[in-house]
Amino acid sequence: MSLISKQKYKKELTYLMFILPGILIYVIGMFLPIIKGVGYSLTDWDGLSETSKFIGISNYLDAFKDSRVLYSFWFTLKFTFWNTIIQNIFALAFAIALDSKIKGKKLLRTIIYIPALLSPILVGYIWNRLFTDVLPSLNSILHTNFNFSLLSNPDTVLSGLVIINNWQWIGYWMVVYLAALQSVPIELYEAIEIDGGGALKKFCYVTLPMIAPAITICIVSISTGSFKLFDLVVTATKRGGPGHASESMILLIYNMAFGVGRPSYASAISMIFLGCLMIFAVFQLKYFRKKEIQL
Amino acid sequence: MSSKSEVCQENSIKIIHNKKKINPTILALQLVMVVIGLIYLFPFLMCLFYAMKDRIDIFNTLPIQPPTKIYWGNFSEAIERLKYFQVMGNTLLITIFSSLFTVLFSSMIAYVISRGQKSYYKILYYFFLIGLLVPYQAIFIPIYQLGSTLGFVNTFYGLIFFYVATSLPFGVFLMTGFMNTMPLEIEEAAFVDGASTSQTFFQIVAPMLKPAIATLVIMQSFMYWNDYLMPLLFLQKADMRTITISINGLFEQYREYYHVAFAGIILSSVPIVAVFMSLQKYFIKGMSAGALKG
Repeated sequence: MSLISKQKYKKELTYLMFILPGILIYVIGMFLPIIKGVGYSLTDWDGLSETSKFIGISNYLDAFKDSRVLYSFWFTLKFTFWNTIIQNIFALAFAIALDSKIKGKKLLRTIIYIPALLSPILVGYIWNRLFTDVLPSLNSILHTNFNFSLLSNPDTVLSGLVIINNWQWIGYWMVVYLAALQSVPIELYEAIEIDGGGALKKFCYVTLPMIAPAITICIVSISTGSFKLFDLVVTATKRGGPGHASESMILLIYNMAFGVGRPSYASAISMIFLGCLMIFAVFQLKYFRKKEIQL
Repeated sequence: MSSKSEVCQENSIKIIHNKKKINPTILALQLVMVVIGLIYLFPFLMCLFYAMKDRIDIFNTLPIQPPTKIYWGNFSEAIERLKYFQVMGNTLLITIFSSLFTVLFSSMIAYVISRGQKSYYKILYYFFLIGLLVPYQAIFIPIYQLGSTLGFVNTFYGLIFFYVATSLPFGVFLMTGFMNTMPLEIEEAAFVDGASTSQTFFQIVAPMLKPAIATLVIMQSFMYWNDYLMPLLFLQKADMRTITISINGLFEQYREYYHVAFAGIILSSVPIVAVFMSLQKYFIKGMSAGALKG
């Protein structure tokens, strides 16, 4: 064997050693569960018995007829929709405001960002108390009669959760937008100024097109993230209450698998959940990327 | 000469004039942002109020009112009930080892994908990319099932194993992207000097990966630290709990005495906020880089 081919052989061997542990962990810890998840969803396995029967897609057909599943799906979708819109608008507005000439920018950025550091478990509990105790006590001081108990009413629980989730995450996306805003070259703004354009023109013709990639990323990340709602409803609404009014998709899957003891049914719902997630991630990326190029 | 000094004078007058003139839009914006800042602080202030009231204050004051005197007893009770130090230790251990192995394995794989000439390494990249679309929350039932078959329930390494497995797609994606932008010359020079592939990676390439590693560690460690579902599935023993599980336990035990629970919230978030404050520059950079690239 010549020296060069021996060296090449050694190199390939090192490469193999480099990728082997990672591949093994990934295949066992992630790829196998995906395949097993698909497998479970096609059986009537109850989680305890040794045997299970192959029942085809009837779990899926049941899920599409189950009003609890449909409600949960619709609820999670609405939550995702409002979050994506509100969080993007406020994150961008705050980023622009805190990129201007106002005083105390750094402190304000930090304050708005801090909620993003906390676990949604904590945030949910804090706001649960705010809505049930603290804000109602404001009524007795001001002698007013506002209804602050958003989380205990099935009709308002969605808006309560949207408020909490936005309080927590606007700061995070604000930082992303700030980074995007600061990377816009000043020359472009100066060019508009020379042409006699005002702030609105600067925003529409320079800022928006330049930060379009960041907008795409934020929309995709916020929507896929909100669709995974789980921790927050564990504490904020005491596991999806009142009743099942705030039962998100993942909470529903959890309840079906460990509460009711129907892991195969829960797996079918998981796969539907995963399908939705993929559809709107791919759709959004395609749609918005196209827009970016046009701009 | 005289004309030049005149211009100078004129400029300085302009500057002074500009400084004195207050822009009304900026002023309005300042006002709005300060109010928003206060709204953001309100929940934190309420946490402090709750945590510092003793039993008498709880009944005599409204939740929105400050305590009449500061009481620290809730904190010591929370430390005891939460098993604070043990639970923080558990969470730290899980976070550190999960981040460490995610960084190690994903950068090794990314190195091979980025530097290997064979086409099957590119296929490997797409193999990992598939996982990027699958959050672990969508497959937690088979993960739990597999974990219990493998004897991973109530072990830290089991939890760490699944954290690493489900983080590898993002890690490989981020690291490969970063490595593709790195120049090859230094590695070629090392090769000419007789360094082996693994020497080149660990001594030459790894130090250059620092920005990407920082981004990955910051993003993932927060996910591990704050995660609730995975420890809920795997760590069922009381002394193996992580902070989110332990805190949630406290909420459920103390349905009437919120004050201990709020002391627990403050105790568990102060270290995180402190870490953030001291490394703020790197955090912001890492997080925005990770989000914009991811």
